[in-house]
Amino acid sequence: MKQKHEDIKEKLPEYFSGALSEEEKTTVKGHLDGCRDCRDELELIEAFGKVDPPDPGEFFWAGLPRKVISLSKEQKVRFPAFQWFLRPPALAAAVLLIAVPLFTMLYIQNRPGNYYDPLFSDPLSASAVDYSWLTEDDLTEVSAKLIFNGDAIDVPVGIFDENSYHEDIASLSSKELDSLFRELKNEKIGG
Amino acid sequence: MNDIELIENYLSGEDTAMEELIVKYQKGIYALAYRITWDGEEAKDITQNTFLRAINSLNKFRKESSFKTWIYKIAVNLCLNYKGRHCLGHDELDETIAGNEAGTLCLLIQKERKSYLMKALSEVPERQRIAVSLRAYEGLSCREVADIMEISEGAVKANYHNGIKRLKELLKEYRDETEA
Repeated sequence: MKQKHEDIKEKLPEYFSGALSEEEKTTVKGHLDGCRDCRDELELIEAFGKVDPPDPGEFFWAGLPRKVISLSKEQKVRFPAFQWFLRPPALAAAVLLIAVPLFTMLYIQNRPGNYYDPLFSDPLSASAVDYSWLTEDDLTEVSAKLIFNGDAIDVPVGIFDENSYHEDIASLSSKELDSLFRELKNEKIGG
Repeated sequence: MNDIELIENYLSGEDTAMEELIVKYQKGIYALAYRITWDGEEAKDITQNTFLRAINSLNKFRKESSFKTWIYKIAVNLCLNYKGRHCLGHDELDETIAGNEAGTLCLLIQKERKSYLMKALSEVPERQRIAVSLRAYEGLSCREVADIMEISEGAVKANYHNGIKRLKELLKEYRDETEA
Protein backbone atom coordinates (compact mmCIF):
# COMPACT_ATOMS: atom_id res chain seq x y z
CA MET A 1 0.00 0.00 0.00
CA LYS A 2 2.88 2.33 0.96
CA GLN A 3 4.63 1.66 -2.38
CA LYS A 4 1.43 2.30 -4.23
CA HIS A 5 0.96 5.61 -2.42
CA GLU A 6 4.47 6.77 -3.37
CA ASP A 7 3.93 5.66 -6.97
CA ILE A 8 0.67 7.58 -7.18
CA LYS A 9 2.30 10.65 -5.66
CA GLU A 10 4.97 10.55 -8.37
CA LYS A 11 2.23 10.61 -11.00
CA LEU A 12 0.31 13.62 -9.64
CA PRO A 13 2.03 16.20 -11.90
CA GLU A 14 1.22 14.07 -14.94
CA TYR A 15 -2.35 13.63 -13.62
CA PHE A 16 -2.65 17.40 -13.31
CA SER A 17 -1.24 18.08 -16.79
CA GLY A 18 -3.41 15.32 -18.31
CA ALA A 19 -0.47 13.27 -19.53
CA LEU A 20 -1.69 9.94 -18.07
CA SER A 21 -3.52 7.19 -19.93
CA GLU A 22 -7.19 6.54 -19.12
CA GLU A 23 -6.26 3.47 -17.09
CA GLU A 24 -3.69 5.38 -15.04
CA LYS A 25 -6.14 8.25 -14.51
CA THR A 26 -8.72 5.84 -13.06
CA THR A 27 -6.09 4.34 -10.73
CA VAL A 28 -4.97 7.77 -9.48
CA LYS A 29 -8.55 8.97 -9.07
CA GLY A 30 -9.43 5.87 -7.06
CA HIS A 31 -6.43 6.46 -4.79
CA LEU A 32 -7.23 10.17 -4.35
CA ASP A 33 -10.68 9.36 -2.96
CA GLY A 34 -9.10 7.62 0.01
CA CYS A 35 -5.82 9.55 0.46
CA ARG A 36 -5.91 12.95 2.11
CA ASP A 37 -2.16 13.53 1.62
CA CYS A 38 -2.31 13.07 -2.17
CA ARG A 39 -5.50 15.18 -2.38
CA ASP A 40 -3.73 18.04 -0.58
CA GLU A 41 -0.77 17.80 -2.89
CA LEU A 42 -2.95 17.82 -6.00
CA GLU A 43 -4.89 20.78 -4.64
CA LEU A 44 -1.62 22.60 -4.14
CA ILE A 45 -0.46 21.87 -7.69
CA GLU A 46 -3.82 23.03 -9.05
CA ALA A 47 -3.74 26.22 -6.97
CA PHE A 48 -0.32 27.18 -8.28
CA GLY A 49 -1.31 26.11 -11.77
CA LYS A 50 -4.06 28.73 -11.73
CA VAL A 51 -1.59 31.48 -10.94
CA ASP A 52 -0.70 32.56 -14.43
CA PRO A 53 2.21 34.86 -15.10
CA PRO A 54 1.25 38.33 -16.41
CA ASP A 55 0.32 38.04 -20.07
CA PRO A 56 2.73 40.11 -22.22
CA GLY A 57 -0.05 40.53 -24.80
CA GLU A 58 -0.94 39.25 -28.23
CA PHE A 59 1.39 41.73 -29.91
CA PHE A 60 4.38 40.12 -28.15
CA TRP A 61 3.32 36.55 -28.94
CA ALA A 62 2.52 37.31 -32.59
CA GLY A 63 5.76 39.21 -33.19
CA LEU A 64 8.19 37.00 -31.31
CA PRO A 65 8.79 34.26 -33.93
CA ARG A 66 9.58 36.68 -36.77
CA LYS A 67 11.64 38.90 -34.47
CA VAL A 68 13.78 35.99 -33.28
CA ILE A 69 14.37 34.69 -36.80
CA SER A 70 15.32 38.12 -38.16
CA LEU A 71 17.65 38.75 -35.19
CA SER A 72 19.33 35.41 -35.83
CA LYS A 73 19.85 36.29 -39.50
CA GLU A 74 21.24 39.70 -38.55
CA GLN A 75 23.77 38.07 -36.24
CA LYS A 76 24.81 35.62 -38.94
CA VAL A 77 25.36 38.48 -41.38
CA ARG A 78 27.34 40.42 -38.80
CA PHE A 79 29.61 37.49 -37.89
CA PRO A 80 29.39 35.12 -40.87
CA ALA A 81 32.48 32.95 -40.54
CA PHE A 82 34.11 34.11 -37.35
CA GLN A 83 31.18 33.75 -34.98
CA TRP A 84 32.72 30.62 -33.50
CA PHE A 85 35.91 32.56 -32.85
CA LEU A 86 34.12 34.92 -30.44
CA ARG A 87 33.13 32.10 -28.11
CA PRO A 88 35.30 31.95 -24.97
CA PRO A 89 36.78 28.42 -25.46
CA ALA A 90 37.71 29.10 -29.08
CA LEU A 91 39.15 32.48 -28.16
CA ALA A 92 41.23 30.96 -25.34
CA ALA A 93 42.52 28.21 -27.66
CA ALA A 94 43.48 30.77 -30.30
CA VAL A 95 45.37 32.91 -27.77
CA LEU A 96 47.22 29.82 -26.50
CA LEU A 97 48.13 28.75 -30.03
CA ILE A 98 49.74 32.12 -30.65
CA ALA A 99 51.24 32.75 -27.20
CA VAL A 100 52.85 29.36 -26.45
CA PRO A 101 55.12 29.11 -29.55
CA LEU A 102 55.96 32.82 -29.26
CA PHE A 103 57.05 32.61 -25.61
CA THR A 104 58.90 29.34 -26.19
CA MET A 105 60.89 30.91 -29.04
CA LEU A 106 61.67 34.02 -26.97
CA TYR A 107 62.78 31.88 -24.02
CA ILE A 108 65.11 29.71 -26.10
CA GLN A 109 66.70 32.74 -27.73
CA ASN A 110 67.21 34.64 -24.50
CA ARG A 111 68.09 31.96 -21.95
CA PRO A 112 71.51 32.42 -20.21
CA GLY A 113 74.57 30.72 -21.79
CA ASN A 114 72.94 30.38 -25.10
CA TYR A 115 74.90 31.74 -28.02
CA TYR A 116 74.83 31.57 -31.73
CA ASP A 117 77.16 28.85 -33.03
CA PRO A 118 78.04 29.29 -36.72
CA LEU A 119 79.23 25.65 -36.92
CA PHE A 120 75.76 24.48 -35.91
CA SER A 121 73.94 26.23 -38.69
CA ASP A 122 76.68 26.23 -41.35
CA PRO A 123 79.40 23.55 -41.09
CA LEU A 124 81.24 24.96 -44.14
CA SER A 125 82.10 28.01 -42.14
CA ALA A 126 84.65 25.85 -40.21
CA SER A 127 87.24 27.22 -42.62
CA ALA A 128 86.75 30.59 -41.00
CA VAL A 129 87.77 29.29 -37.55
CA ASP A 130 91.09 30.62 -36.23
CA TYR A 131 93.62 27.78 -35.50
CA SER A 132 96.50 30.09 -34.67
CA TRP A 133 96.25 29.31 -30.98
CA LEU A 134 97.21 25.61 -31.59
CA THR A 135 100.80 24.65 -30.66
CA GLU A 136 102.97 21.93 -32.19
CA ASP A 137 102.35 19.79 -29.10
CA ASP A 138 98.60 19.95 -29.69
CA LEU A 139 99.08 18.81 -33.28
CA THR A 140 101.46 16.01 -32.20
CA GLU A 141 98.92 14.73 -29.70
CA VAL A 142 96.12 14.77 -32.27
CA SER A 143 98.39 12.99 -34.83
CA ALA A 144 99.24 10.29 -32.26
CA LYS A 145 95.58 9.67 -31.64
CA LEU A 146 94.94 9.32 -35.35
CA ILE A 147 97.92 6.94 -35.83
CA PHE A 148 96.92 4.71 -32.93
CA ASN A 149 93.29 4.69 -33.92
CA GLY A 150 92.09 7.29 -31.49
CA ASP A 151 91.18 6.79 -27.86
CA ALA A 152 91.10 2.99 -27.94
CA ILE A 153 94.88 2.87 -27.42
CA ASP A 154 96.59 4.46 -24.48
CA VAL A 155 98.98 6.80 -26.19
CA PRO A 156 102.09 7.52 -24.12
CA VAL A 157 102.45 11.22 -23.67
CA GLY A 158 105.63 12.63 -25.22
CA ILE A 159 106.20 9.77 -27.69
CA PHE A 160 106.88 12.32 -30.38
CA ASP A 161 108.75 14.87 -28.31
CA GLU A 162 111.92 16.83 -29.09
CA ASN A 163 114.05 13.60 -28.75
CA SER A 164 112.23 11.93 -31.59
CA TYR A 165 114.17 11.29 -34.84
CA HIS A 166 111.21 11.34 -37.13
CA GLU A 167 112.04 14.77 -38.54
CA ASP A 168 115.69 13.76 -39.13
CA ILE A 169 114.65 10.56 -40.87
CA ALA A 170 112.12 12.38 -42.99
CA SER A 171 114.83 14.78 -44.20
CA LEU A 172 117.19 11.96 -45.45
CA SER A 173 117.68 11.39 -49.17
CA SER A 174 117.00 7.97 -50.74
CA LYS A 175 120.74 7.06 -50.74
CA GLU A 176 121.10 8.01 -47.10
CA LEU A 177 117.98 6.00 -46.28
CA ASP A 178 119.41 2.92 -48.09
CA SER A 179 122.65 3.28 -46.20
CA LEU A 180 120.78 3.61 -42.87
CA PHE A 181 118.67 0.59 -43.72
CA ARG A 182 121.73 -1.56 -44.42
CA GLU A 183 123.38 -0.51 -41.15
CA LEU A 184 120.23 -1.38 -39.19
CA LYS A 185 120.01 -4.73 -41.00
CA ASN A 186 123.64 -5.54 -40.18
CA GLU A 187 122.99 -4.74 -36.53
CA LYS A 188 119.75 -6.86 -36.74
CA ILE A 189 117.48 -4.06 -35.62
CA GLY A 190 113.95 -4.55 -36.88
CA GLY A 191 110.89 -2.43 -36.74
CA MET B 1 4.79 17.53 -38.19
CA ASN B 2 7.10 16.76 -35.24
CA ASP B 3 9.85 18.99 -33.83
CA ILE B 4 12.71 17.24 -35.63
CA GLU B 5 10.96 17.56 -38.99
CA LEU B 6 10.32 21.25 -38.31
CA ILE B 7 14.01 21.79 -37.51
CA GLU B 8 15.08 20.01 -40.69
CA ASN B 9 12.66 22.10 -42.72
CA TYR B 10 14.00 25.28 -41.14
CA LEU B 11 17.58 24.25 -41.86
CA SER B 12 16.62 23.67 -45.48
CA GLY B 13 15.44 27.28 -45.67
CA GLU B 14 11.82 27.23 -44.52
CA ASP B 15 11.43 30.01 -41.92
CA THR B 16 7.78 29.17 -41.25
CA ALA B 17 8.89 25.84 -39.74
CA MET B 18 10.86 27.69 -37.07
CA GLU B 19 7.97 30.10 -36.51
CA GLU B 20 5.72 27.10 -35.85
CA LEU B 21 8.24 25.69 -33.40
CA ILE B 22 8.54 29.00 -31.52
CA VAL B 23 4.76 29.42 -31.31
CA LYS B 24 4.54 25.90 -29.89
CA TYR B 25 6.92 26.58 -26.98
CA GLN B 26 6.95 30.34 -26.41
CA LYS B 27 4.24 30.43 -23.72
CA GLY B 28 5.75 27.53 -21.79
CA ILE B 29 9.22 29.11 -21.85
CA TYR B 30 7.82 32.48 -20.79
CA ALA B 31 5.84 30.95 -17.90
CA LEU B 32 8.89 29.03 -16.71
CA ALA B 33 11.11 32.12 -16.96
CA TYR B 34 8.56 34.12 -15.01
CA ARG B 35 8.24 31.49 -12.27
CA ILE B 36 12.00 31.53 -11.81
CA THR B 37 12.76 35.25 -12.17
CA TRP B 38 9.46 36.84 -11.01
CA ASP B 39 10.07 39.60 -13.49
CA GLY B 40 7.72 39.97 -16.48
CA GLU B 41 10.11 42.04 -18.61
CA GLU B 42 13.04 39.77 -17.85
CA ALA B 43 10.89 36.71 -18.64
CA LYS B 44 10.11 38.24 -22.07
CA ASP B 45 13.81 38.85 -22.73
CA ILE B 46 14.71 35.34 -21.58
CA THR B 47 12.03 33.86 -23.86
CA GLN B 48 13.40 35.77 -26.86
CA ASN B 49 17.03 34.94 -26.04
CA THR B 50 16.21 31.27 -25.48
CA PHE B 51 14.89 30.91 -29.03
CA LEU B 52 17.65 33.09 -30.45
CA ARG B 53 20.32 30.95 -28.79
CA ALA B 54 18.55 27.78 -29.88
CA ILE B 55 18.43 28.88 -33.54
CA ASN B 56 22.07 29.95 -33.50
CA SER B 57 23.10 26.61 -31.93
CA LEU B 58 20.88 24.26 -33.93
CA ASN B 59 24.01 22.53 -35.26
CA LYS B 60 24.77 21.52 -31.64
CA PHE B 61 21.38 19.86 -31.17
CA ARG B 62 22.26 16.20 -31.50
CA LYS B 63 18.68 14.89 -31.30
CA GLU B 64 19.64 12.60 -28.40
CA SER B 65 17.07 14.37 -26.25
CA SER B 66 13.84 15.99 -27.39
CA PHE B 67 13.85 19.55 -28.71
CA LYS B 68 11.56 20.47 -25.80
CA THR B 69 14.09 19.25 -23.23
CA TRP B 70 16.93 20.98 -25.05
CA ILE B 71 15.18 24.33 -25.29
CA TYR B 72 14.04 24.20 -21.66
CA LYS B 73 17.64 23.56 -20.67
CA ILE B 74 18.70 26.72 -22.50
CA ALA B 75 15.91 28.66 -20.78
CA VAL B 76 16.80 27.38 -17.30
CA ASN B 77 20.47 28.31 -17.82
CA LEU B 78 19.51 31.81 -18.94
CA CYS B 79 17.20 32.14 -15.92
CA LEU B 80 19.94 31.01 -13.55
CA ASN B 81 22.33 33.54 -15.12
CA TYR B 82 19.68 36.18 -14.57
CA LYS B 83 19.21 35.08 -10.96
CA GLY B 84 22.93 35.39 -10.46
CA ARG B 85 22.79 39.04 -11.47
CA HIS B 86 19.58 40.09 -9.75
CA CYS B 87 17.90 39.66 -6.40
CA LEU B 88 14.17 40.28 -6.43
CA GLY B 89 12.43 41.40 -3.28
CA HIS B 90 8.82 40.73 -2.34
CA ASP B 91 7.87 44.39 -2.74
CA GLU B 92 8.69 44.21 -6.44
CA LEU B 93 6.71 40.98 -6.71
CA ASP B 94 3.65 42.57 -5.16
CA GLU B 95 3.91 45.54 -7.53
CA THR B 96 4.04 43.20 -10.51
CA ILE B 97 0.92 41.41 -9.39
CA ALA B 98 -0.92 44.61 -8.46
CA GLY B 99 -0.30 46.01 -11.91
CA ASN B 100 -2.00 43.06 -13.54
CA GLU B 101 -5.23 42.76 -11.56
CA ALA B 102 -8.63 44.54 -11.57
CA GLY B 103 -10.28 46.11 -8.52
CA THR B 104 -13.59 44.46 -7.51
CA LEU B 105 -13.86 42.88 -4.05
CA CYS B 106 -13.95 39.40 -5.53
CA LEU B 107 -10.90 40.08 -7.62
CA LEU B 108 -9.16 41.63 -4.63
CA ILE B 109 -9.65 38.41 -2.68
CA GLN B 110 -8.39 36.43 -5.65
CA LYS B 111 -5.53 38.84 -6.03
CA GLU B 112 -4.59 38.41 -2.39
CA ARG B 113 -4.69 34.65 -2.73
CA LYS B 114 -2.65 34.71 -5.95
CA SER B 115 -0.27 37.17 -4.43
CA TYR B 116 0.31 34.90 -1.49
CA LEU B 117 0.66 31.82 -3.67
CA MET B 118 3.26 33.52 -5.83
CA LYS B 119 5.06 34.88 -2.83
CA ALA B 120 5.13 31.37 -1.37
CA LEU B 121 6.56 29.97 -4.58
CA SER B 122 9.19 32.70 -4.64
CA GLU B 123 10.24 31.70 -1.12
CA VAL B 124 10.97 28.12 -2.14
CA PRO B 125 14.68 27.55 -2.87
CA GLU B 126 15.55 28.05 -6.52
CA ARG B 127 16.37 24.45 -7.49
CA GLN B 128 13.20 23.18 -5.80
CA ARG B 129 11.14 25.85 -7.56
CA ILE B 130 12.59 24.89 -10.94
CA ALA B 131 11.85 21.20 -10.27
CA VAL B 132 8.26 21.99 -9.20
CA SER B 133 7.69 24.32 -12.17
CA LEU B 134 9.04 21.85 -14.70
CA ARG B 135 7.30 18.82 -13.19
CA ALA B 136 3.93 20.28 -12.25
CA TYR B 137 3.39 23.07 -14.77
CA GLU B 138 5.34 22.04 -17.83
CA GLY B 139 4.33 18.39 -17.51
CA LEU B 140 7.88 17.09 -17.89
CA SER B 141 8.91 13.69 -16.57
CA CYS B 142 11.57 13.21 -13.87
CA ARG B 143 14.00 12.02 -16.54
CA GLU B 144 13.42 15.11 -18.69
CA VAL B 145 13.77 17.44 -15.69
CA ALA B 146 16.97 15.63 -14.70
CA ASP B 147 18.34 16.22 -18.19
CA ILE B 148 17.40 19.92 -18.10
CA MET B 149 18.78 20.56 -14.62
CA GLU B 150 21.79 18.28 -15.21
CA ILE B 151 21.16 16.33 -12.01
CA SER B 152 20.08 12.74 -11.27
CA GLU B 153 16.45 11.62 -11.33
CA GLY B 154 16.69 10.97 -7.59
CA ALA B 155 17.81 14.56 -7.03
CA VAL B 156 14.86 15.80 -9.13
CA LYS B 157 12.43 13.79 -7.00
CA ALA B 158 14.02 15.11 -3.81
CA ASN B 159 13.93 18.71 -5.06
CA TYR B 160 10.34 18.34 -6.20
CA HIS B 161 9.08 16.78 -2.96
CA ASN B 162 10.98 19.23 -0.76
CA GLY B 163 9.56 22.08 -2.82
CA ILE B 164 6.01 20.77 -2.47
CA LYS B 165 6.56 20.21 1.24
CA ARG B 166 7.80 23.78 1.68
CA LEU B 167 4.82 25.14 -0.26
CA LYS B 168 2.43 23.17 1.98
CA GLU B 169 4.07 24.67 5.06
CA LEU B 170 3.83 28.18 3.63
CA LEU B 171 0.16 27.72 2.72
CA LYS B 172 -0.56 26.39 6.20
CA GLU B 173 1.06 29.50 7.67
CA TYR B 174 -1.11 31.58 5.34
CA ARG B 175 -4.31 29.78 6.49
CA ASP B 176 -3.33 30.18 10.14
CA GLU B 177 -2.71 33.92 9.62
CA THR B 178 -6.06 34.32 7.82
CA GLU B 179 -8.00 32.46 10.53
CA ALA B 180 -6.28 34.42 13.31
